[in-house]
Amino acid sequence: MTAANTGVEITGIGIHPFGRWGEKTATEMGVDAVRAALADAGVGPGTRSFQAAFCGTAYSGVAAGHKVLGALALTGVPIVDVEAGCASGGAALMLAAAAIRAGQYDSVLVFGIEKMPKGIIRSSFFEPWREEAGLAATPAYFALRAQRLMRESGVTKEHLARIVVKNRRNGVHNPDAMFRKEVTVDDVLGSRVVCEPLHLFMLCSPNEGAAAVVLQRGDGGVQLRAAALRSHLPGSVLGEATPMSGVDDHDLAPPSTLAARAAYEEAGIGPTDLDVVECQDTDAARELLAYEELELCPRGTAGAWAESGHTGPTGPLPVNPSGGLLSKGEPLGASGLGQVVELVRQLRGSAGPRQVEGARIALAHTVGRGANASVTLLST
Amino acid sequence: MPDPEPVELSPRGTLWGWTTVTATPPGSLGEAPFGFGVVELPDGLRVITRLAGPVDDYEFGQPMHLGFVDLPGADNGDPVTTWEFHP
Repeated sequence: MTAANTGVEITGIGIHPFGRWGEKTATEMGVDAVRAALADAGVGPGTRSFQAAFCGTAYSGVAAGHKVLGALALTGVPIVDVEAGCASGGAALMLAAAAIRAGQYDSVLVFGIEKMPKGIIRSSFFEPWREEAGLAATPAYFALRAQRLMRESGVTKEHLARIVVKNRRNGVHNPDAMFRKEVTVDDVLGSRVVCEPLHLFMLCSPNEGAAAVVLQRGDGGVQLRAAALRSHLPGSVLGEATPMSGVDDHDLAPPSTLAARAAYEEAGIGPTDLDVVECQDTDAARELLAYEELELCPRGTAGAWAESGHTGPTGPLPVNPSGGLLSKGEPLGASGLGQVVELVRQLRGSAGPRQVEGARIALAHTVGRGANASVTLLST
Repeated sequence: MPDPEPVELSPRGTLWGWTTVTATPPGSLGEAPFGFGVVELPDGLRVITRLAGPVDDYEFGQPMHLGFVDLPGADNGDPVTTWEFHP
């Protein structure tokens, strides 16, 4: 199947701010986000406008989506939890959009919830013997990718620091972000080294939050033009699959590239058409790598691109105007949908001080454990 | 795509990537800091591995060879042997 034969419209968005919320449960945050999205879609309280719901989450346990919709008295329809690591929200969107395009449903609710502990994420993805050997050191994999980017793409530690400065400056204007204070290059390089070359401020914080969108068959408003999900090809040594071994991956398209190409083709949109991007900035180098993997810039030029200021808030292609995960933090199941909430605001022209002038075409990107990568394209 | 099958790997290679893990990762028997990186073997395969530290003076492409390290067992149990690469 290639081109869509029917439009999918995003009629409602809702978000529970990302942060750390003490005793508040993932279910309670989900209730807030879903209620806000339904209200935004013009659905009255207690009215169920959707025929199915997909809930993105990685750490919320059994029937997490049912708990949210149960608390809202909105059960009775199919409710399916979707786990695809950091791409869980994108995966849920893909399933929902496909169901609408196939004629199965007219409207689908998609939401994501997460409540993560602080620090290095513990993941059942790692076998016990790998954990025992100390190989479940997630930031170390990020660091090795950053080191390679510095060696092969002309990226410097200053470039990495400036990505953090850019995103944190954007995050100042986002009330849904966890960190809303600007930092300087000196602050970033002065923060403690977690895994050389990555300093603490270059890494996003796992945290808590929820986000929701309402999809509806229709050709108006903000259109969901494509929602693609891809996994890794066998063999790459330093992708998010974190295998134990691999090969020179220069000839292997990473999952983000596979997902981007699929989405570009489905939507008939190319990287040069984009007005605004929200991408996975798990760490500062991950954002620069995404520029190359999403084919926004040629391979090996991320450093020069960062230097040019191309992706700043007033540049030709603003990236992470929301502040990115570096400002918002990363509640896995909710982070991708949080990007979509931001981009719908951008396309509606309601992003306030973060508004990218005249934004019409937008891309959201997540990549993480699995490996899984999602690319979502929106347009007005 | 051919069916994967086990192969014997060379115990020698060259350094392709390295860092220091400064906080003990979840479930780890050993404690931070320790070296961590990628060694490229002669047939082009790259292996994720612990590295004998400290790694501050390591250089891209330097020769490395396979070794072993004993990590303390959980709950005072027997040590667990795993591999690491040495310069």
